[in-house]
Amino acid sequence: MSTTVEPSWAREQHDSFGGSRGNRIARNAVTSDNLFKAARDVSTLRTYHDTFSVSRPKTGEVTNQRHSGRCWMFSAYNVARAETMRLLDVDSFEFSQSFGMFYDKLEKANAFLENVIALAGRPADDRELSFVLEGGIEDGGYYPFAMNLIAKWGLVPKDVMPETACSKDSSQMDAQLNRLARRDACELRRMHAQGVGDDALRARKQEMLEGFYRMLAICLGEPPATFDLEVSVGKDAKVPAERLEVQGGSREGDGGKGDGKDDDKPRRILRDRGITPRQFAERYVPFDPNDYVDLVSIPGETRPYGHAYHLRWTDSVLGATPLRFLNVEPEVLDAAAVASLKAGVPCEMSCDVMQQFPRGIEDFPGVLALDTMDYEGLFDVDLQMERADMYDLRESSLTHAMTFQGVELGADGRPVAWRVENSWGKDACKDGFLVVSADWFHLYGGEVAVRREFVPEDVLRMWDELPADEVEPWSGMGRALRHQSL
Amino acid sequence: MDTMRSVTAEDLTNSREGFLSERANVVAKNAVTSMGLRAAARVPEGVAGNTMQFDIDLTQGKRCDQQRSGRCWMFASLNTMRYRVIKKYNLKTFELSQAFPLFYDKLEKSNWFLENILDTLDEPLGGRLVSYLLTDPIGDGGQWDMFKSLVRKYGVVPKESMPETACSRNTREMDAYLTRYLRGCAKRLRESHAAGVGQGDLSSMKKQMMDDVYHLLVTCLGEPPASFEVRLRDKDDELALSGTFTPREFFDEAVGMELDDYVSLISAPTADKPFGHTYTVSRLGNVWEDGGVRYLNLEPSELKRVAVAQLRDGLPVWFGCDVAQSYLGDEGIMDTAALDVDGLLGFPVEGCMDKAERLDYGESLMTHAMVLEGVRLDESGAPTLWKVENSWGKDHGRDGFDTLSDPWFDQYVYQVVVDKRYLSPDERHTYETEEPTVLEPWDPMGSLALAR
Repeated sequence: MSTTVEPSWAREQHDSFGGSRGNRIARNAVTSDNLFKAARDVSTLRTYHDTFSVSRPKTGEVTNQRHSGRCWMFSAYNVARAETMRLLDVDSFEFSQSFGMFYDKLEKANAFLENVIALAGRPADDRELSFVLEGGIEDGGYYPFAMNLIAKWGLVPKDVMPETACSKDSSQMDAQLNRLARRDACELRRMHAQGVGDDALRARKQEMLEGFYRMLAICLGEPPATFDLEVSVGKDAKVPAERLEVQGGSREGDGGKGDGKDDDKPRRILRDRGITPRQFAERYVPFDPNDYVDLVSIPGETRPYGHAYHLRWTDSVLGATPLRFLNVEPEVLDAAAVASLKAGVPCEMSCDVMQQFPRGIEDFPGVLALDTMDYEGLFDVDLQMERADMYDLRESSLTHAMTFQGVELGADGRPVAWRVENSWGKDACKDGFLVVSADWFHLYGGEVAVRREFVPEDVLRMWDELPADEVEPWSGMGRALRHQSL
Repeated sequence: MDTMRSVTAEDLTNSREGFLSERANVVAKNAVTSMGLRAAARVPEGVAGNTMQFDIDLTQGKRCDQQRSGRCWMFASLNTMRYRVIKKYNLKTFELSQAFPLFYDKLEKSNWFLENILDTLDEPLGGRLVSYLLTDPIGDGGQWDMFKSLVRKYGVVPKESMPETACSRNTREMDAYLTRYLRGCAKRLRESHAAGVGQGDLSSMKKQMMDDVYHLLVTCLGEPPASFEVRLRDKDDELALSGTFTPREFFDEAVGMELDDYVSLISAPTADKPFGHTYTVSRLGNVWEDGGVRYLNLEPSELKRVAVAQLRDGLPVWFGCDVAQSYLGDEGIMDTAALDVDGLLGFPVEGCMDKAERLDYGESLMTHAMVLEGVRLDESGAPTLWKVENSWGKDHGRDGFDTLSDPWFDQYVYQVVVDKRYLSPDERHTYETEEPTVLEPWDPMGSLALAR
């Protein structure tokens, strides 16, 4: 058979293509609009409902990461803020994501330079060094990154350090951070080649970090060392009375004819002056950042279930808890997430969000399912792949972190569909949320981070006791768990 | 239940099973539910033929925009006239006022309507004729012969001398109140007649009513100028025309068109309208003293022949068509090959009737007037693609222009207006001498161009 594309063969294809009414319709539709629209099946879409037997009330206003790769941080903050909203009895609360971004980038700069020092003896095209250099100081990350940041640097309310142009669209800032990182890598490698020892390299690194701090402070503003907290809270806020000021209240003498109901209610102001971001987190985010189990389900011969994994060259906050993923059957993830939601606790999840996702399409009801985008019928081709093969052959990876906020359970108690809070603003998806079918999550999802209390004994034991297998970044597991950043 | 007369559950089961078993049906459903029928039926290879390349290509001024009014026939007529002004004085661009003929058309249509009411006083109110007259007495639509009457009687003015107003850009409110007033007039005239008021007194009543109509129109559109100053500068910024004109003087001086030479040719292949004969439509018109319209019905090939001949001589051609058929509106492409609705649906819908059947069964009629300004010809000199100036602004189609394919012309073009010197001697003789067959007021050939 021929190794080339033969013109005669192409001619035959040309002659037969138009003979099929299906081909002609597919071509006419796709050329005049787009693939998402042509492949969308409204009949199957209609079968998914935005109603859930288990659904957290008061999820707060939908957040918006805009043109930045901070999905993992937004998801982690969405999990954490549930506790703050409960404590303060408020309908919504948002932590500053530019505060988180500042320290994330600073920690990543440090980790990058440390990795460069550790690999200083390798040739420039070494595979591991290439991975470090290509990654640079990107936006992407994982739930545990956010937990380490909260534990070390704390949190601040959004209005204490609001979004800036560079946090909303990180591309310009990232380009300069990466330029500086690679320039510094160059210098550290040259020093090493000249025989400079690790201690001296590390001392030089410390000086280099000043440049990163300056860049970040200029792009994002300086994170506050201390700030005055002042926030309206609800009547059931569980805060010390000495920090609470009650203003107004029912107008007396109007015979109860008050019209504007809200005007009649007393305003309760929580004031806490001069607190640090860590004090804020300790006092107002009743949430233990170390209390989580990160479960993944990445099938494949080279990455058996029942093992814990660590991604090499990936940790961001050095000296804090390293990344750790416990690989288990998908049903274990389902059960843990259901237990969490039943207890009223949201949890982080991640997935290959762009699979079967007609992003930007008009009237999109926010449904991710396996039977709603009919590309196979449109093209008349077979697109089926096993999940393990999709990771090994680079078709899929967990690109995006979001937050489970509800679940619809079948008669057998297993999940049918998930209610997922996204961080693309309230106008994206369906009012900011997605309906994710359980089978879609089994095929294209693969991670949840849940509190220890929601994980069964045996799984917890594995999480606590198993030594972690090191994962090379270019392995199937490494690619499956590549930074979550959409 | 009579299972032959009712839709039964079994019918639906059969239809459903047949539908989903075919890939083409499923692909069609997915695409159409998302993007609509025409987007899914758009054939890229067909669209590709509609390039703006023509063997004969006239140069027009900047595009005009009828906005939310049904004045396409006025815009089309004025586009053929301003073309002459632009050529004559070598102007960059030029527009004639479209509010000016709108004013006089509404005035004349009101009179025409009231005269028709006076002429049908003894007809039953619920009968088809009076009912028809009352349906849309002064709508925006019109015909070339009606425009000719307006210009002959009132002339034309430059756009600056009577610019657009809110009511000319969007005629809905003005039309609604004028229609309401005129229906009230019809009631008074008919009831006065029933009460024994004589013809002379009824005519006096009508004169009084027309006075109110004038007031309403001035209120909405402003007063048309009796005379105006004109300063036209050419492409070299030289003064090309200067003076004070009345609207009729300005027409004679600047447009200089022999209005009566321009005749309406239609192409309606229905059994009741043999080709080669003239027709008029009962009670269709605007200027009372001019009477109604006059059409000569010819084969489409004749319409194309005379249109090409006039374009060769450097003059644009007014034409009327059913614009919404097989039309890619955003792109401005009228081409039966650019849309494959029947392939999409899997059974003939576009193809379920021929041109005559579409007219007879109320599927198609003339809805829109535009101007042919160019044509692409094949080796034998036959037209393959027409260049069309539309009146929907420059953002429509391609810089305001549409294209129209030759097969589309055959199917959906109903009328062209050309200088009668392009007619064959026989055709001309018939047009000038034959007593026209009178068509019913509701005949499809009595439809008025009004697409917006």
